[in-house]
Amino acid sequence: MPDDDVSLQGEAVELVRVLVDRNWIALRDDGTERPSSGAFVESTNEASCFILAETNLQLIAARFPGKKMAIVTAAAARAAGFIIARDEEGGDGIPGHIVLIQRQARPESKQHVRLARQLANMARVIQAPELQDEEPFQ
Amino acid sequence: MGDKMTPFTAAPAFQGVECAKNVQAQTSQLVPASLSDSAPWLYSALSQLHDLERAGQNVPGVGDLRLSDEASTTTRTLLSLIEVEVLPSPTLYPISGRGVGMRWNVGRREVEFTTFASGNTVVAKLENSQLVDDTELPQNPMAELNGYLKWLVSAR
Repeated sequence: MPDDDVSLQGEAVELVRVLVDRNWIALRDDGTERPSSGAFVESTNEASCFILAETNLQLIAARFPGKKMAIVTAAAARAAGFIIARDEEGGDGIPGHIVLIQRQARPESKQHVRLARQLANMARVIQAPELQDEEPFQ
Repeated sequence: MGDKMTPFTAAPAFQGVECAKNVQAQTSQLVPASLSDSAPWLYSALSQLHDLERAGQNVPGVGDLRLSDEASTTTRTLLSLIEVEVLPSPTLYPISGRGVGMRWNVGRREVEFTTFASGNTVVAKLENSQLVDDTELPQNPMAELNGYLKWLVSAR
């Protein structure tokens, strides 16, 4: 089990979840986009994200062209019962990869889904940046 | 002439043809031929499920979006147990880690199924994006399943 990186705390640390499926995006009542709970539920209880300040959005945009991203704070993730564990290898070359691991609720329980929904409701959705004229990421 | 004839199945084109095999299918996987007319939502759901089964990939940096057999089978079973006749088409999507999600919207009401790779399923009612009720589906989910969907369509 990966270890919690307790240095990743607070509102200033932001985490990026790539919304690869368009149905991972839903609309709030005011018409703004939010991720659906499905974006943060993980059967293996290790949801892949990137630390915004440590990753490279250009690399993410190149790997996932046209995809949107959900941004949540470390504080919101911890409030929803997740620990934040570094996992550089899991990024497959993109730096700043971490996994969110649900510790407050039993995996696959309704509480597990509730907490994923709580986290999703705290997120904002952004568009990946335009690709710059660089060598395509391999 | 008759003595010199050979069966047409002896032609080279048929040499690679194997005998028909029995197809093993569960009752829940069998659907009427007129499905697209009688239950367009079911046709849509099965079509989306098929697409997810076919196109799912393990995506580094995101998760494994391939559907497990258990998740696929559970979703088909759930669809086969629905007794609410008039429904809109649901939206199906992958759940990272080899699960599948399914969501119905009617007005401000929403019913959302989260099926994990193991086949365990959580269903939730939401109204105005706020949780109203949720449950972990039991072995025989028919009552809960239809109760949630009846609540959904009663908003009409």
